Amino acid sequence: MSPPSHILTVLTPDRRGIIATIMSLLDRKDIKVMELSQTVVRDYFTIILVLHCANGSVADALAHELETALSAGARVTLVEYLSGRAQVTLGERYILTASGDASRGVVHAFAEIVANRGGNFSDLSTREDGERLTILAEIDLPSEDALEQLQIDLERAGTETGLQVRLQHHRLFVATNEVAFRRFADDS
Amino acid sequence: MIRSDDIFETIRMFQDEKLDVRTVTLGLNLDDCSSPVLAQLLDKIQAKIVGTAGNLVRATREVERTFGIPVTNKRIAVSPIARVAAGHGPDALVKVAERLDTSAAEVDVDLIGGFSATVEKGMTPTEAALFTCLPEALSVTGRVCSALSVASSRAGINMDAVLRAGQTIRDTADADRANDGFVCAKLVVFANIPEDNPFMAGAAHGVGEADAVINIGVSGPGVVHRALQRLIERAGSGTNAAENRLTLADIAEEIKVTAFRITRVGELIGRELAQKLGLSFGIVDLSLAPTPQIGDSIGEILETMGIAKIGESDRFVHFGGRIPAPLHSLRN
Repeated sequence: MSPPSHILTVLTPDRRGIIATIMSLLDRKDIKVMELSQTVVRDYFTIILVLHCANGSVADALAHELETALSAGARVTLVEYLSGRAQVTLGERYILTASGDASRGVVHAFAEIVANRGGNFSDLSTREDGERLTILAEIDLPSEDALEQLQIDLERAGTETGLQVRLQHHRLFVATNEVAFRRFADDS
Repeated sequence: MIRSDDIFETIRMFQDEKLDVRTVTLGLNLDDCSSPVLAQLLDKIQAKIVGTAGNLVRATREVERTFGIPVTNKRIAVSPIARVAAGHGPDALVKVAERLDTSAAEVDVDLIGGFSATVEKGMTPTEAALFTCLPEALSVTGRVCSALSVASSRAGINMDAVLRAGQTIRDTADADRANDGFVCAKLVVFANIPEDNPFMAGAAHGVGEADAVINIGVSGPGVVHRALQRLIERAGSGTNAAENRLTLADIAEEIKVTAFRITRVGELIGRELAQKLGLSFGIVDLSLAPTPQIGDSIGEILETMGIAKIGESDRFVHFGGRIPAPLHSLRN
């Protein structure tokens, strides 16, 4: 398999045809997409792509050409992919949910707590709907001890912020929402 | 990828609807403990219970912590003692009950079931002795439960056993007169007794089961009740009442999905625990029995679906609309 060479990100007001435009340009330049993740947050389209580009000089012009193709308002970045730089927490995956009245600094408080207990966010989304805040996160934790401490810390933070907070094992949600029962954590 | 509304749906079952695993029950075969010498029989029973269930409570607590799911009761169900202790009389059987009780205390389980007899076609001398000793055996022990199987669809009803069971209930209540006969809550009379029932007082480890197996009991009515209430509220909140009118198929779908989720919680806990203990995973029993919690009743599900009134709730009007405390205990 070809190694990844670049990371491309695009941020632009959402409209029809953005992915088609991006893919069309990448195809024309013979750049291979190895992995991507895309979402829309409050009307803004965002995408991150891991690319394999055999010809470095082709990649150099990619960001500018893509901004032009996507028209005004699009922000495109292209960086070199550096392998082996991530410091990933190995361990079990948990789902953190919190909901309640929105107040400043809540996400910051939870992020500090998770970081202090050695946890790593692998996915995080928050949504403020009027006065109500919802937080949904996937967290990798290094050990059972970290889980116990984190639960205590989160419970305290929940009391202080007035949010209902829960931290539960990822496999609970797999078991209750997927038809096939997975016996093992990596049985995906 | 799990959808966020599915995640919050699962969270709601624990947070708002108080879903828990009602019981983890270790089914344990004691047939290999049989001995004509009482002392040997007692020692073998204790050794097998402590040897197999010694880590049951600790491992259950670990699984509770990992998954954040409370397990209300930890229990053991053994082979019917009238079979294990074949050849022994009533006095010896009381000793067996006492040893079951101390063994259960040693491994810290809430209850131990299986001080039982299966007599739907006839009664052996030891089974007759078990009936005789039940009032004393249940009164002198705290954790021991008994199930008498007096009928089955295949064999029919053993009317002699029914008569003896009736007399035994009265005698057991008399023996516990000081506590209003509460000890009878540990005695169940069955038709068609399940071989792998995890719920007390009727749990026993039946024929055809593995040597040691983890069975799970989950309680469903409360969660199903609230899921149906939400469905009805959602349908009622729309602008077009005719379009949002619920059909029986909508209700069936909601019950199906909710029952799936509840059962899967039990399966997750059961499989994880069985793996930790090196035992087989058996079954999940989704109980429809009511608990003392308000709303945790199949009757209220039927009322939510549109049936005007279920059961004999008028009787409770005399108690100010509340179920008196002794009945709470019997219904748990």
